[in-house]
Formats: sequence, structure tokens, C-alpha cells
Amino acid sequence: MQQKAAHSNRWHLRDVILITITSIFMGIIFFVTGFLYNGLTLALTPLGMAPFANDILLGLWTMAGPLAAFMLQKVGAATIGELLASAVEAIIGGQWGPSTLISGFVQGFGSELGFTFTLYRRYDMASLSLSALTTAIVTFAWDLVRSGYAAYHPWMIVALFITRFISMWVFGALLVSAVTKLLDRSHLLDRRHA
Amino acid sequence: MNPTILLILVLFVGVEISFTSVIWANVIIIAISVLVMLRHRAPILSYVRLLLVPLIPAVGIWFSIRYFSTAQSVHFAWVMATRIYAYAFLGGLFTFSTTTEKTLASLEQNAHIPTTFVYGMLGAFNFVPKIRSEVKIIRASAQMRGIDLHFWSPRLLFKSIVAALNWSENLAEAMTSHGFTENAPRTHRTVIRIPWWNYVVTVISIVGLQAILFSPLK
Repeated sequence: MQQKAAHSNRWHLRDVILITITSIFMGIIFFVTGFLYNGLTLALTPLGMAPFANDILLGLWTMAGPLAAFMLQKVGAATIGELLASAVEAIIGGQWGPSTLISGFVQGFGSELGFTFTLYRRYDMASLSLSALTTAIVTFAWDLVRSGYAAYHPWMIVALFITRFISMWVFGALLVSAVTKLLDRSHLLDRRHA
Repeated sequence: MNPTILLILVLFVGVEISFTSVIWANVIIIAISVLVMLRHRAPILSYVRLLLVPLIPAVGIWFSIRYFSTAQSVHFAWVMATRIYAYAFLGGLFTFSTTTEKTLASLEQNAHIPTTFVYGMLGAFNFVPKIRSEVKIIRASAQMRGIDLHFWSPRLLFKSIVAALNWSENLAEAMTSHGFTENAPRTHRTVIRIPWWNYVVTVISIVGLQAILFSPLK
């Protein structure tokens, strides 16, 4: 058992390629709809609610972590998956450059914690929901500093956090689980987890 | 500059300005980035993009902090707005100083990132044009059956992942059959070195940043 776990935790070339291609896919899918964020920000700016645009959509950008964890079921998969996805975003978009890597690492580490708490044994809705919660907490702590969230009124901070958690749960748990259910039914991943 | 050293420097600066609130530091970072981009002859359009793209988030956060935060501080509103631009221009500085291939090669040789990751990513990046067309094909073929696949549709993601699974198997096998061995020691045709002046520039930049951050400048 011990040996099997140690073996399956090795990263192979095909795992790296799979995660990177998946990240590129997601990067392109998000890139196509990137105007959503700007549109939302524009609509919310007169109300002073611009930060909500970030929190409503953040679940989308943090999907790579839980998806990678689910597909590879390895220690570190969520962190590496999200970090790779952010590297892809930095390279394709080029715009935010290396600072995307910092966010990617923070988000990946957040998702990872959810699976760490289940000792990497559970890959279901429960661990995905837990991962959404840890991602929300970790990224929110980071945004309190980086995006100046700490300067807002307490009610706004609470509302932002709730928005963020809902977004992460909808995209990172609900959507990811819908995708993985399709994958399970296709039995395409069975060989990889064997 | 060596891409690994530059990446570390840029990340360090990016993290430090996240934890401090000095407008001048952000402005000087933007100015230095512009100078570096000028030296690398970045096209005019890239400056326009760097100015326009962060505009909406920067204006948004300025208004939120100025009118809807507890302190309603004008100073902090400008800190946040210039911080967003500083991030963007740091990105521009890095993008025009090096290429993806050079960065990955340097990460392999100088930062000793496992070759499986470096070459796996390199292989995957060459798929970008194919991936773009695959997304289009999946959406088009669904539309032919009267189904609109949105970006949040699990089916679009599922189909993309199925394609990714096939490609990753094929590409990994192709690379292995061309002699790639996971994490085996490799020799390099182009050896990437870190020139001594890179360290000097890094130390000067970091010391200079501390000098600005802990000076009376606001």
C-alpha cells in the first residue's frame, strides 16, 4: 500500500503534458470570456462595488487546481496544476506577467489544503467543497493585503467573502464534479489511477 | 539578464509592493519597466495595451477605496490604482526581456527544475494553435446539432480533457521514442550562464526598493 502510494505520486511526462494542455484549454476558454470581468467591473464601479467582479468570477480562475487534483489524484497536483495554469495565462495573455504566478501559487496552495485535510483519500463532492472553502479562505487572506480588502467596511468584507466562496463552490466544486462525473463514466482515467 | 534571476527579482518586487503602500515605489517601478521595454524596442502598441488593459480594474478599485472604504483615503486609492499598473508593467518588463523558451531553458539549467516539467510544458505549449482550433471544432460541431456550448458547460471542458488525454499520451510516447528519459541528466547545446553583473543589478534593485519603501516618500 505504502509502495503503491509512493509510486503513484511520481509525476510522469504525460501527467505534466496533460495538466499543461488542460490548463491551456481553460486559459483559452477563460480568455475568450475575459471581457466578462471588465464588463462587470465597469457596471459595478459607479456603485463602488468593483471588487465584487473579482470575487464573482474568481471561482473560474481557481478551477485548474481542483480539476488537476481530481484527474491525477497526486500530492501537490492542485498546487502544480494551478501554478501551471497561471504560467499558461501569463504566457498567453502576457499582460499580467509574472505576478499571475504569485496568485496562481496562492490559489493552488488553497485548493491543495482541502485535499490535504482528507489525506488525499477522498475525491468527491465533500473534498471538492472543502477545497473550495480552503481556497476561499487562503485567497481572501491574500487579497486582504494585496487588493486592499482590509480597507473596506466589515459588512462589505463579509459580503465579498461569501460571494467568493459561492463562486468557488459553483465553479470549483459543482462544475468540476460535473466534468469528472462525465470523465468517470467514460472510464478514460481508470488506467491512470491504476 | 538571465531569465531565472530576472523572474526571481520580478516576483520579489511584486510580492513586496503587495505588502507596502508607497505610491512612489509603484511609479518608479513603472518608469524602470518602461525604460527596459524601450531598450528592448517593444512595439508602441504594447505600451498602449499595458495602459488600456488595467484601466478598468484600476479605476474600479480607485473608486471603491476612495468612496466605499472605511478610511476613504485618497492616498490608499492611488496606491491600489498604481499597484495594478506596477504589476502590469513588471509583466511587460519580463515579457520583453526574454522568451518562453529561454525562460524554460534557464529554469531547467539554472533553477534545476525537473526536466520532466520543463520539457512537458515545452511540448504542451507547441500545441497552443491546435488547442485553439480544437475548442472551435468542439463548439462548431455542437452548434451543428443545435447545442450551444458555453465556457461554463461541463461538456465543453469534458471534450477538451478527452482531447488532452489523447494528446498527452501521444506526445509523451513520441518524446520517449525520440530518446527523452524522465529526469535523466542531460547535456546542453546552449549552456546558460548567469553573468556576474546580474547579481549586482539584483542587489542594487532590491536595496533601491527598500530605500524608497522606507524613505519619507509616500
